[in-house]
Amino acid sequence: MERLLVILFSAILVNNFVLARFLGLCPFLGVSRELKSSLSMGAAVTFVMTLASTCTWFIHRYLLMPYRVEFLQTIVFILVIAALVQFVEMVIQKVSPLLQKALGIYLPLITTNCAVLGVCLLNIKEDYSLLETIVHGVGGGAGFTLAILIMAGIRERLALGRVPVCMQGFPISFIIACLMALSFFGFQGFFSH
Amino acid sequence: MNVLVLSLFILGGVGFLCGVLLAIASRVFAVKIDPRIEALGNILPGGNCGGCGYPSCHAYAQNMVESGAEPNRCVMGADLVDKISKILGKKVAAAERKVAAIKCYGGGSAAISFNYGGIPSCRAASLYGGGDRRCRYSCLGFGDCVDACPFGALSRVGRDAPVVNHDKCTGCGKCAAVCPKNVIVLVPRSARTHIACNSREKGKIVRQICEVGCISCNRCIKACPEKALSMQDGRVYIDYEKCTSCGLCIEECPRKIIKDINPHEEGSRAINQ
Repeated sequence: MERLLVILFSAILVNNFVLARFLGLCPFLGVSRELKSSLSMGAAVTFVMTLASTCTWFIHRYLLMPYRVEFLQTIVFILVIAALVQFVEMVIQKVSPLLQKALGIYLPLITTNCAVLGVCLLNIKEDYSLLETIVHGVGGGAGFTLAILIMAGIRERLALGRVPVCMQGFPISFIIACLMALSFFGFQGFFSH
Repeated sequence: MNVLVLSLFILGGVGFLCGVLLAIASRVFAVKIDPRIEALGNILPGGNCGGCGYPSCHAYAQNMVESGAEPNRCVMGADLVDKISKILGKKVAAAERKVAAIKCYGGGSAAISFNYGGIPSCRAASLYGGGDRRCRYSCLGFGDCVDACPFGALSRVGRDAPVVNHDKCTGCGKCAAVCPKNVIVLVPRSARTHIACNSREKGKIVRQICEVGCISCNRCIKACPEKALSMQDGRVYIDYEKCTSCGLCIEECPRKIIKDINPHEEGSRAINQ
């Protein structure tokens, strides 16, 4: 139990996917203009990360490991994640139009997101059990959501601020992202396992 | 060699399985979408301005097909309504297309009451003592409307009132909704006369604070042969139902506030004479 909590919180804070591992930066900067859309993006990423971790764990354990072709994991995972997200999108479209509206365009956007692939590869690297894998996926998604929400909050305020012309838009966003990463660096060494 | 073949098989197998699964899923979970929705979505302007009362063009298309929203709600006018009616198979008369008009020459012309150094936004400035202009009806000129326009039809002119591009303006009214001074109105696209002053003050006060403010001299009202102009709530109001665009009021106005706002229609009687 303790190990699970450590995995969860270290994925959210200490090894935050965006701010400590620098994965998933494109949605982090691209969809963080408004709080509402960034929340949807965070929800979609959490959903896909959890699902993809679980799915790829099975593939690794029961397909790649028995045949000793672990070196294929990156390419197989990309394939499986892409297909999985497409599949889930179809199912959601049919089963729950409401959920489809909430996650909407964000689901297909993250099919090839590096944070999603990253979480799957890390699960394998750390040799997690199935339960730990799921928790790591949820934590990674929650960490991404946290980071993108903070970013969107700051950028909404920033829209009213007086930013020098040469720094407007992305330059100032990069500086904010850098400062946020620095502050998250303060969590380094909180949990050791 | 063995590993090479094995990895080929595994990767190919996984890919094949995924493909088959997706193919089956697309059959099983297919959602039937009325083709008319897509057709309508293609001809709607796609600016998602909200002028029709629906959050996006797609939502409007959906509502037209599924719950019978009227086809003439799009602000883009008659041509489009014709196309929509063709797709839906109903005949509906087009609503008059409108265009935004700003009832003020803008911040530059009204006297300043203090130096405003806050956030460059009309809404923020109007919260601070009603803005930095002595005329409290004046356009503040920071251009919140310019940012609100989904079609890029407005452009800033320093701190003066923004300029409306008639070709791009669809008359959706987003600019009017965002303006804290309610200085933007929607007028029919065919309208030629427009009074560029929003003030309700008495003539004496207007003379002191603005070079181009309406001083309520009523000369335009008397000059109008169609009785299209009238004084309402301390402002001159033009009834475009009655206006024949004769241009007499434009000539009569001593402060040159009544403008010909229509850049397209030429040769209409007195205006060009």
